[in-house]
Amino acid sequence: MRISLQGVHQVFGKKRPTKVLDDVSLTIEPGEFVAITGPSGSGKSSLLNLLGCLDRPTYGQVYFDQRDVAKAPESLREQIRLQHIGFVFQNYQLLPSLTVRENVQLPMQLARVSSAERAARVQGLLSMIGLQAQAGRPINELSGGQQQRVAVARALANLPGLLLADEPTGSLDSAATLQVMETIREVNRSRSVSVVLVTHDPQVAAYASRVFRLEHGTLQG
Amino acid sequence: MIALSFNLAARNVMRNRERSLLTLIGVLLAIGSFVALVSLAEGLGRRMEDELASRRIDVYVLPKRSLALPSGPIGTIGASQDTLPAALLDTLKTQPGISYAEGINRESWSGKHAALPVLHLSAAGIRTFFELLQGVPEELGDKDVLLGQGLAQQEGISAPGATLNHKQVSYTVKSILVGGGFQDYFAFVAPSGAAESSGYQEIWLKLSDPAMAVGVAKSLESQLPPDVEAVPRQTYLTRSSRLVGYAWMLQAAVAAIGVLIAITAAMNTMLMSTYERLREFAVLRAIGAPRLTVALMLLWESVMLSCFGGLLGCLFGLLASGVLDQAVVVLLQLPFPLARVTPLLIFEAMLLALLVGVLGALIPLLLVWRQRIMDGLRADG
Repeated sequence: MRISLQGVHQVFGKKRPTKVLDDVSLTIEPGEFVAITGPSGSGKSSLLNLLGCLDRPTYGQVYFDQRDVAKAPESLREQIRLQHIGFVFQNYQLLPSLTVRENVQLPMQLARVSSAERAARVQGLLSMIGLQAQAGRPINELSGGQQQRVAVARALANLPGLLLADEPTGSLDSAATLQVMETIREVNRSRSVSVVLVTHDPQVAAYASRVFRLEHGTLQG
Repeated sequence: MIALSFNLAARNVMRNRERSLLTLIGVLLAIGSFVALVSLAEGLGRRMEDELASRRIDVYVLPKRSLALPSGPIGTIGASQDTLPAALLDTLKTQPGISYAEGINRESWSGKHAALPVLHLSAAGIRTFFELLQGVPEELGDKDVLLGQGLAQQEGISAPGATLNHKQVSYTVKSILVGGGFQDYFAFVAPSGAAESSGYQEIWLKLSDPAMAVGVAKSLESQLPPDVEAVPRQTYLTRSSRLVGYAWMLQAAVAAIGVLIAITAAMNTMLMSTYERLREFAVLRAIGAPRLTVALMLLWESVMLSCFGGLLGCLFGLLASGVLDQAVVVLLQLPFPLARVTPLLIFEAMLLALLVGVLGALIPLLLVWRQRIMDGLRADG
């Protein structure tokens, strides 16, 4: 999946408008690993939210393959999020009332994947993140690093073409960071999933094949 | 999608046990009080309607200020003080189309445990107007009393021959009448000689052709004094239904206060629970859950709690209805239980519980529906 931002501007607030992104253009080729770095408030997360169809730009276009999704109806954007994009958030954002297995299969249930297919995919994903033995455990019994690996597995549940990770190691120690980043790199290499990762950690950014820096809403790199 | 949202809702209900329990108790109390209060009106209504419908009276002649009352204790409590002159009965007896006419008076005697509703009516009148009653003797003497089976039981009388005292007069129980329903709870004595001068509370007419009731009532109107009216059977039943309706509305209005409180409590709980989970909802939306799934999840959660609370509330209402009934029976000196919890009442209560759930989820639903995913992801939780 080829994702492209063209001349994107993002302005927040009506009474006192703040320009968060200023004429940003960026193309991510299929299977590419891109890192976006920059200081706090530089617009990294806003850029990621536009790529993830979580927000719409004030001006400009966001293309998924040939389709401009910036002005697409919400139902189509929901479908794109469900079928083509996987999200990994800084604080894992797993559902505390569900087990490891249930969290991973949730996106598949939303996409109405058959139960046999679900079981097979969950098995594969948990094996990939090394948490098969924890499948039936409540999510809050896992360590931060384990939870983030479950979040990666959940993000991959519907076999997306794009994985978006917003500070995925921001809450983890160095050992857990290493595990999570290795998992993401493995996903990128073995499954040809494009990865866009937002981080302010240069060691994490080093995993990417291309690194961009955002400053005052402008993309450099 | 429905099953998934239901499953997630159930998990959330179980996750917040304390809060769920409090909401459940709120709904339980509201629905319980609704069932208990309305069961009294329901029981009163059913008894009144049953009794009035089983009477074979085609036209009622009564003072205009009279209410359409049953013969039992309720009728005694609400009976008008206005009376009809005895001479009017003689006039009515001569009118064409009328096969039987008799004046009646109601009074209340003191019983062992409750007031005894007494109807002054001749044996012929009882046979004519209360066809369903069995055991009516040929004649009824001045010192005879006929007791309905339920009333006899209440007074500890199992066979004729026992005596009942009223105003220093000893009456002999001549027969115990069996009719089923409300009629088992009143007593009959012969028409009082005093009625010749003091008059009657009502005059009951049986026509040779009951289908002519409306026409006969209309033709009688012109001959009656201005403060007296002739009311066909159907109109009388409609009036009594209206009275029952008012009683129902009154009870329901009192119960509605409880229900409103329950709705507010449910809304508050759901709103708090929603505010705490704004980020969770935003995550669900972010991973592709449609708005409708998230909204359904909230709705299920609220409805699940309210319906389960409603179910328990019905059980609680059933018990409370019995206790309340005891209190009313003692206060009004009724010889029989009044409350009746019908399947329709349970259905209405469950419908109300559902409404509590839906309304309770309304504001949280709007909040989640309008929430931007971005804002949700930034929310605390």
